[in-house]
Amino acid sequence: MSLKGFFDPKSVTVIGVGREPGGVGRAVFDNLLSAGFDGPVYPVNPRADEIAGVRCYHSVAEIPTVPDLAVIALPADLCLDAVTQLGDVGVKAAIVISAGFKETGPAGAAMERALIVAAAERGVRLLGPNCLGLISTRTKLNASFSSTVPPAGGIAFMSQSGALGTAILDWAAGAGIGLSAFVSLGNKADLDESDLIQAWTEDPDTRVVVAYLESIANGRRFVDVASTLVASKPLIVLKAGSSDAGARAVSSHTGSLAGSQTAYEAAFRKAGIIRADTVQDLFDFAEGFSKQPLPAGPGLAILTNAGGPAIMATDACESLGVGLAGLERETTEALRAALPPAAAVYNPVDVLGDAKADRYETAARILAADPNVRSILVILTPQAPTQAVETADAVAAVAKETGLTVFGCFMGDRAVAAGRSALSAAGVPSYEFPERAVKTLAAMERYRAHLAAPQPQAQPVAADCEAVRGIIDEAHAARRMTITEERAAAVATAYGISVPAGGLARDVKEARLLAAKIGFPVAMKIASPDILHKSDLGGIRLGVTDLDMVTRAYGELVDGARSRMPDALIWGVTVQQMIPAGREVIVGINRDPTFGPLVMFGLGGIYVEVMKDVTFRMCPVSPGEARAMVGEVKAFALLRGARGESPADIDAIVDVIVRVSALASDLDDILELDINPLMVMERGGGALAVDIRIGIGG
Amino acid sequence: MLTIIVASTTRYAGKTGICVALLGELRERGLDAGYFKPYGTMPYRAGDVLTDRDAYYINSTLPTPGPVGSVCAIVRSERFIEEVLLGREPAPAERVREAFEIVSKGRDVMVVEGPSDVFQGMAAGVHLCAVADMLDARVLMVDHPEHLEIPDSVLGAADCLGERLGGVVLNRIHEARAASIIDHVVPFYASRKIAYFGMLADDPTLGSITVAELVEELGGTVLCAEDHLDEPVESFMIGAMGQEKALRFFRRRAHKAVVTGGDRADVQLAALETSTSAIVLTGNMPPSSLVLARADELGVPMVLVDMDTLTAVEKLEGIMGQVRLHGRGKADKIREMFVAGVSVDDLLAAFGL
Repeated sequence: MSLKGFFDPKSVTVIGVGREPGGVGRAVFDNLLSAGFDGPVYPVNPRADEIAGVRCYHSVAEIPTVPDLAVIALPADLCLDAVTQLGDVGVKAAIVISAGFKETGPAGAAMERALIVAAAERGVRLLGPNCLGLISTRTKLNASFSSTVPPAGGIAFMSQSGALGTAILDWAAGAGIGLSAFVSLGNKADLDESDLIQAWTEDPDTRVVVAYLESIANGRRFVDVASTLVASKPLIVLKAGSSDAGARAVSSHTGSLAGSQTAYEAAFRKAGIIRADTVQDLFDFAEGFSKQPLPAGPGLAILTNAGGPAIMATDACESLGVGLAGLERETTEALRAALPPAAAVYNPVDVLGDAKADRYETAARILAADPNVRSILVILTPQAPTQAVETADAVAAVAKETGLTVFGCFMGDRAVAAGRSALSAAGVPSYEFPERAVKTLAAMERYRAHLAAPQPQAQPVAADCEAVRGIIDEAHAARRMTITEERAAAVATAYGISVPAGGLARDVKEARLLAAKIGFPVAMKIASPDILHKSDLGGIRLGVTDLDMVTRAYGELVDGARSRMPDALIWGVTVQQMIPAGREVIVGINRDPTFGPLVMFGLGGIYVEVMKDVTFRMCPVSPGEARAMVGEVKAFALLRGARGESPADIDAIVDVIVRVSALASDLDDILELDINPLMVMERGGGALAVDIRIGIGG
Repeated sequence: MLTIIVASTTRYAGKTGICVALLGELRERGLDAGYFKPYGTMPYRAGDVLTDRDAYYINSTLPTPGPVGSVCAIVRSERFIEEVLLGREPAPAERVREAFEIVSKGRDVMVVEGPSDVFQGMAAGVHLCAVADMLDARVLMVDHPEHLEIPDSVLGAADCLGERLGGVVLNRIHEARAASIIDHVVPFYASRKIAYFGMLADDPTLGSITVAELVEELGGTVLCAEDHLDEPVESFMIGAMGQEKALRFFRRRAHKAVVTGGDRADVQLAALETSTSAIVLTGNMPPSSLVLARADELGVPMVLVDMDTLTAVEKLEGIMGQVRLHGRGKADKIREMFVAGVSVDDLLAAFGL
């Protein structure tokens, strides 16, 4: 969808421009004029004939042409009329700056809904309401009430917080960071983050997209459009509200759930979004991505005039997974020949405190020639002989000539200020501390790796979806919020997941019949939707070998449950085929309100909640993603076979993850699902879903 | 004239509902059936008349209602309790007899809603056995077994009622227990020569109250979605956890009221993601206007109360156990369940109809 009317209008009207400066409408109008927008700007005010020397129109109908963009800065109750009139004359893009909508309660929300309906009926797209407006630097369009306009550049920035938006505009202007566009999202009544991501995917002026978000409207669409954008340009997102208290603040600030961190992580991972944890990260990443090329691969060389900062940088590399380049012999020899004897010629390369610009340049050129070096971090501390500006110029020259990713870290304040400015002016990002530079580089390397990795393709799973549909309908009819254990096993079977033979016995007689049918030995477990942790309550009997034991175990299980949880509803006892011991893992589903089903994998059994050794992905997952999940939990070492154990059937786990993910993707009613344990046999032996819980809704 | 006393073994067994269903069935068979309650425990003033709330309601649904002043003979008011304890209450049994005579006049059959267990009314001499003898009635026991247990209460009632026990209907039986009851408990009744007529499933909608009733009980202020006060509330949950846990927790129950603080926007939004009929905001803390707008959009009333969460929960616990059949939908529903689960013809035949 094109948002050309917003970013590249030929003419603009501002509705609600005051005769005297001071109001919001007037500020927008003045900003439009002073930023140098070269098309006509039509102010509308029923009581003014001329404003700031420009002819003013009494109504929308009087405007001689149909403006491409309208900015509305009227009291909330007048906006509906304005949008209706604009739509009737054919305006297709409108920014509603006005506040007083959803954020004020039900009456405001009703006005906002009316506004969307009126706009949609007339084919008008709306930005806002309750927003700061929009800036497009290429067209010199400042349709916002921020008087600060950043220089033109490659970063498109959107913010769900207007106030943070103004701070960022000011920072960008001060730091000389160029923006292609700035958008304040406001209440996101119509246009939301996904629409902008889509628009900026096509925008040739935008090289990096940066967003500050508190909530995401439609998670699935967001991931889809973000994935498309990320294939051609990086998307950096600061998602606020990651703590419980922060989430509460987001909820009351935006009226939407902050969303689970797990879900956001899974979604960002799926789309290849770069997550900024802090506003500082956001700025640092924006600067790094917009000014420097992506590193061609891992291999950072640290060039410094001081040991301490280089060690800190190295520590940061280690903890953030940035690989230091192993230098070729020729490189170290060249360095040794060029540098004083006390210099360190292995990575980090220390050119010593007395290094002037020429020594930095020599070393940088030698490093750049090494095929293992893909990026260089130049650290400079101010010493007496230090030439900050000259060093900056030299570093910038090397960066430009070699095309490597080069960052500067000129530490200090006054002594290095001019050097930093020189770096910045030459397009080399400069950070005050080495950790920030390394963190930015780590983000860039992750993005490169994401681009290089094959795009996962979820495979269709052959399954009896209709059978599961029937089971869910039956549970709905009985007004159950969970699927009974017996039916859950049928759900698993319908999706090709193996379960042990067995079933539910509602009394001793049935238990004996079942056990005889299955064949001894059997396992017996209390069946109650209220008892989540059976083993805690002594609700499991393993290795039951004959009918007398079945009778005894049945009584003991039911009595035990009754005495420990008198209010629990007891369905009976599950009698299952006794399966050989394997390695216990967990595969689960949790449906996130924003991003839909997430599949979980981790170490299973009774220690799941203690160890929390689990990982998540957005569904559906490809076999490749499922395999990556298995590989990234700590328990992987156990599955692979620790200390002489033979390896577990990892292919079987991957298969179950893919099938569970398909199940959750096919059936929206499944809100939660846990297979715990999934008993994994040795390689080739398969895996059995021993205990399955399914929660439904919808 | 025949008289059937519908009594129960325990509170909240659902005898009022069985009375309603029975009255409907009798009417359908062309019989003029009247309703009477000897001993009411829910004082209710209809104009100048002190009566029982359920009795007043059921009587009002009859095609020809009995005189309001006589439908419930004795109301367990504060004053009545005092008089009984002081030994001053004049002849309660006589009052029952007289009221019954007035109400039953000209009827083909009377459905008498008896006490909620065999002991209730003992001090005033109007307990089950006494009333059954007095009215020359037979008793239909409604049992709600909490667990699959030996039905001691039914046996106890049978022991004291003797021939006057007409039989048993089981009510509010969870689907997980139905099969076991049929396999084990029903044959046990037969072995003790107690007639069993059938069972009704547990249906949470019958135990529900409306949001409007909840608002009335808590004395709250409705902040939004005023047009959704008829929605049923089947249970309540307390929201005091982080948003991720809240979502998992709230998904476990449908048609619930969520009790939480006004400042817990995250919990409120999580509740709105799940099946929630109302959100009760305690501590008189108004919610964020954005959350309010969202709740209004979704049609979920937010109810502001000035009590703390503990007090609100105690009040809710008090009202949620009672099944109130007021409202046509619930009466129809229980009649439907009664016909589906109980052999009505056998039951009526056993009572001589």
